[in-house]
Amino acid sequence: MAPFLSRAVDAASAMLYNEIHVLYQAGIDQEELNIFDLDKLGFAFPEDGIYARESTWQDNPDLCRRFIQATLEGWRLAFKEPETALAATMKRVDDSRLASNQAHQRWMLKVMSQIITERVGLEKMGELDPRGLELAGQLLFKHGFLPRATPTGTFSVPAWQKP
Amino acid sequence: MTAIARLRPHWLRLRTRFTVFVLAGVGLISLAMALLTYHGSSQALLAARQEHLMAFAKSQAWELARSLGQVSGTARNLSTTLEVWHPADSDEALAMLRHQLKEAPKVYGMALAYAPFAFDSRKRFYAPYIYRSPQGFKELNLDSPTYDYLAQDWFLIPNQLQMPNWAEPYFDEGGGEVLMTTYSAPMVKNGQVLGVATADVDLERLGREVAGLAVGQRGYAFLITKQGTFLAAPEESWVMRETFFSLAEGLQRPDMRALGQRMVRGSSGLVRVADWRSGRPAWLAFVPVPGPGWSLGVMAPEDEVLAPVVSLARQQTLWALGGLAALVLVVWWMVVRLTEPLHHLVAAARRLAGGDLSTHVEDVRPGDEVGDLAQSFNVMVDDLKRYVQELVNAQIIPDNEMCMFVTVFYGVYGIKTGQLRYVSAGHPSPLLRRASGPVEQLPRAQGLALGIMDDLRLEMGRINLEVGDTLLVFTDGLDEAINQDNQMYGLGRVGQWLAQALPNDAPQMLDDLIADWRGFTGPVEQFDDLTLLLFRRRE
Repeated sequence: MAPFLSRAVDAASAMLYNEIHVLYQAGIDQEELNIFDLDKLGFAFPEDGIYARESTWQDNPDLCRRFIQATLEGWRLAFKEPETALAATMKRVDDSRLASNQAHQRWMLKVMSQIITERVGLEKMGELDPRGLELAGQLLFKHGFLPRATPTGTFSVPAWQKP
Repeated sequence: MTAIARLRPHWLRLRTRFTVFVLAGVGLISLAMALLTYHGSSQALLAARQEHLMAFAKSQAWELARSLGQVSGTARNLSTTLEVWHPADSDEALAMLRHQLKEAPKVYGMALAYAPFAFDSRKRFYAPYIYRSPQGFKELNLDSPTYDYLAQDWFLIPNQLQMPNWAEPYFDEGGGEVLMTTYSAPMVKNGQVLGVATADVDLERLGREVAGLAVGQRGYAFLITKQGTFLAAPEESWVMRETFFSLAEGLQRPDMRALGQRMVRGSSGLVRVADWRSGRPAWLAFVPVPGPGWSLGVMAPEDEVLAPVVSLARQQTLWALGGLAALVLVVWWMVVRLTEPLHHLVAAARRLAGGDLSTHVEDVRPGDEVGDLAQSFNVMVDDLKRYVQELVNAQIIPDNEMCMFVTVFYGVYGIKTGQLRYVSAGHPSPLLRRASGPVEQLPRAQGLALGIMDDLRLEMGRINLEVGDTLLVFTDGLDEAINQDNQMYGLGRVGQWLAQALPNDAPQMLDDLIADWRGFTGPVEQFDDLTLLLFRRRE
């Protein structure tokens, strides 16, 4: 966000859970910004998935499943005990000498919790939104970023489901 | 007098009342004046202290700007030079950097970061960097793909803006390895950015410099960037990580956010705030640092700002209390002086009421009201005395055809002194039996009986009674009484009786005397009246 805040660039993509808040912490109020909400404009692309080669999944489905389960369990725990999660995160921020602070991490956790659980709730957390996937596939294909439309079902496996 | 004393409690005596009223009056007036003075002087002092705080912040911001000017100037010189002169090789470029760094003690490190292929058309990355380490100058090439200088803000922003820029604070991992901020000046040739020349400021060093700007014991100074990020702060952990706004968010202080917006937008001002560390009231002076446009804040706890005001108030209070104490002494002394004659007057009036017509108020100082009163009292007593004397004498004389006369013995006994002052108008002298034994007759005081002459002159006698002395006052009915043989009872018998009498109660003794006397006169009819007074000093 530094180039945007320094006016080196006029526009920047910003995530609700991160950069929007970075701007807020630089003293910029929402009213001072022109915000194009891509979600409302119909570009609700799924993001931040866990990816594996098809062969890895086929060779070690149990390992992959347990990895996914552990990841989701970590998120559930973080939502349940936000202060513990924050303390652990801040320790890593300190260790890595990152330019981040607790108020920002608190915001991120809060917004992530809303985004992640909004559609499917805690129990079905991890399920890929089929409509979102379809929309993204169609748009990317239409504008030539993909050689063919990705059929739903072949792209993801429901590893989030408990066996 | 006793009736009045009973009506009012003791503490409400005149001197107490007077002192209390004067003290309360003067105390209230002094208090009001002290408050007014305190208010006025504290306002003036506070204004002066505020002005001082603001002036201090301004001067320090300029000082900081001068110091940072050395850093930015070094990078700008370098970029300007390199816009017209291209180093032949890496050695020349490094020599140039080394020379510049040597000349600029405030600069931590310097880099020449070229745009892709701008230094050497065969090399995509070229970014020599030289910085101060405990072992002396250290050289590096920042061309590693993990460092990726082309993506660093300090390269990207000035490159994009084609203007010099101060970077937000960062930890230069893979570079200078310290918390720093970097000034980058783009090298522009024919509208093309060749790269940037940079100069770093070590934030630990800057932090020490800013910490030295603290005012008072618990005051502190801090420095924030245009984006509110702390470059120097009272808490080391705030540097780079926190912004003024992230603190405001964590503390839920919208006032602080609004203040931060004024600061990062280049305003200067002086505000009273609740200190975000202690929560206690404090004064914050903030001014922009010319050049980078950062904001310097100088925070001073209000109790320290007001310390001279408080000490002034304390001093004024002490003076006022001292003045009031002196006033109490003066008023008390004055009232005592004023009322002392009144005490004498009261005592004299009591004596007069007890029949002592010889009473007098001593030490009369006429001129003031009390003195006049005392003098009037003395005149009144004198008049009264004369009147009484004249009354008795004058009442008798006009129709004293029978040539009857009245003898008087009049004495005033001082209980404390034991002195008896007396006059005798033709009265037989009383007999005194000393405690040691001998009986004597009081020295005769000259004076005619009443009813003989118009002009009466009496001589006053004085005698001191010792403890145990017994005085017998009598009329001539005692000694001039006769028996059947026409013999007088006589002073000798009276003296004899007195010498031998047992020291009983006065009534008992007088009964004894009368019994002795009756035994002497026997059946002879009493022809004169008999009055006896027996008096013994006990202590």
